[in-house]
Amino acid sequence: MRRIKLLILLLLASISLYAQNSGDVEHSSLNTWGVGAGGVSVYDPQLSSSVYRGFSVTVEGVHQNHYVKNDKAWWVVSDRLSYGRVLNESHTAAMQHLRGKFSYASCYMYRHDESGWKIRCMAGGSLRLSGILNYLPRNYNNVASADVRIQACGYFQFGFMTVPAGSAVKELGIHYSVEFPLIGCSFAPDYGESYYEVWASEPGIGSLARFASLHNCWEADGKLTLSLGFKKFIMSMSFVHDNSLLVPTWKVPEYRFWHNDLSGELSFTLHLGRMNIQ
Amino acid sequence: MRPHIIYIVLLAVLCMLSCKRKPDISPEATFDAAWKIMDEHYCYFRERDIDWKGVCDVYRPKVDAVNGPFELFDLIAEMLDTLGDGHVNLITPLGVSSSSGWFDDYPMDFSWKILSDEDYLGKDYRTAGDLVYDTIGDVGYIRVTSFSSVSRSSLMYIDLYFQNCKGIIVDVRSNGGGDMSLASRLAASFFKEKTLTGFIRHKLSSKHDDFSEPEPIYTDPDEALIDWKRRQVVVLTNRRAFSATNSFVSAMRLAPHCTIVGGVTGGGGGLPLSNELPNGWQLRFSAVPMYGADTVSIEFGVKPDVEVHQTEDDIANRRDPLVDYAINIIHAEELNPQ
Repeated sequence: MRRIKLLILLLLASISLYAQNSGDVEHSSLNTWGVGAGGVSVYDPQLSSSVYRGFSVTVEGVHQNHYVKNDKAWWVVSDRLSYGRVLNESHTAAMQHLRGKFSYASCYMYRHDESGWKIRCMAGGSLRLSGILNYLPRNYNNVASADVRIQACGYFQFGFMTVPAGSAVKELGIHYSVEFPLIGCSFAPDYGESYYEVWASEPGIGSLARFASLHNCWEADGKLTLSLGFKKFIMSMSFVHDNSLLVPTWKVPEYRFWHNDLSGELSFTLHLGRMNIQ
Repeated sequence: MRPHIIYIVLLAVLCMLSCKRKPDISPEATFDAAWKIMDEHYCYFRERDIDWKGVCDVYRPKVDAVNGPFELFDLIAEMLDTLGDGHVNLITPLGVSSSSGWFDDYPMDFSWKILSDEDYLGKDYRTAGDLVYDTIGDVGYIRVTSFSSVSRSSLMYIDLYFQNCKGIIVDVRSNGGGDMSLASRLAASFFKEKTLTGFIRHKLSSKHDDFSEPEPIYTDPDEALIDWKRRQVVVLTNRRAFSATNSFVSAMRLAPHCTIVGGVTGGGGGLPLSNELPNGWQLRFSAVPMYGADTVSIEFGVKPDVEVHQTEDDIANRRDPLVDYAINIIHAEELNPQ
């Protein structure tokens, strides 16, 4: 519990530092909000041993800023909320899937420009608050599964962009960003722990909190995006994956992929907002 | 490489990722999925002394000879029946498999036909959700048919109806269970203070014997559906009182002013969960083991305080000896309902 409190204090301290610096962050490279739709693949071993797939809708915000006098230091803030109604393979059961993420990263940027194309690499750290809620009413005493995580992560972003000559497209880009947690706190039931148990037994909700770090949590939460930037909006297609090699919520770690397939979300998104090509 | 070729390749990769994979619904895949789900999640292999790999060795070779869904259903059902667990069911559009061995050799101890005679409830009893209630003389009688629809408001009216009664009979005979939290909250109605009434464990991995330490479960009057802590209560049970009802009876053993009368309950102490097979059939099984306050497993039933059975003579004489006994207890140990 002491480590969890320490982590929360660090998060609060970091956010206050960001607030102090935000007055200097005047140059916004990207500041957009978008809506999207696509497909999602869900594997939740708490509720089922099958993969559920279906339609999803997404609301997403992306904000990238850097200091006016220093374009090497960047802030990347991303918010994402998606909802999906997913079905099992035989279409006999439906699950409601809600996933949200707020991430704030500070990075160093490496840039390389050539005529007609450019490369951008960002590396740094991020603070991430994420959560998943799956609701499957098939089981009387275990209808839902939820997982909330507060984590400090390593952050990496790679971008390759071209500027097509003589077209309305301002920028054609491909980006891949990935976060891999280094330390954090997870609120989720154990493998095999029912929600009746959480409700009825003496430790109650307190039993859900557990410390997560590289000793019990190997995870990669990434996003691959193809984007077409126009003057006032961006069209993009993205694939979001969240793959855990070692699941942080189980007391006895068990090496397994979150799923044999890539568990994730493929969506087409239309962003509206401000984009300044750097 | 030109940039647009990179985009086309990446687009193709993304499209492939989104392609839908057709599930393998062959008899072999369906059988294997059923065996594996049980192997990884079922919680009573040790208590029931089951060699699950040995069971697979017996039944898996028979899959090759299966002809059609009915034979596949029968084969998987036969494999599941080796567990003898009432919480293990194969639930399909063509039928539901269930094990009956856990109650076949026990007396029924319940006859609704006799109970609805004029000597008992008569024909003008009242029904509210899963509750059937009326007075038998100066004793209140509630039959809880299931723990699915038991509301606080219904109990408030029943309380009003029973205001002049000297005690209450809660009849959970042949109640197959339902929502555990409803069962817990009804039990809490008869407690004066927060009381340790059981323990629960959960599996920590897919290994058969890998469980958490027992975690205590308390029955807390703060969660009660109604305040009946001062009421004299007799709970009637039989072998077909199962699952959430079994847990209800286990908790009620520790309620003040409560006597359990009837036969040993049917068990079903494992919290059931459902999962699905590739062809859409559902598989239900015991997943989370539960224990009484004495840390003894309640999977095989809860013994009553007083064992009373309905004999052939009782049936011939149209008597329900369990209700008769309960009325005698209430009259003998009459308490002030306030």
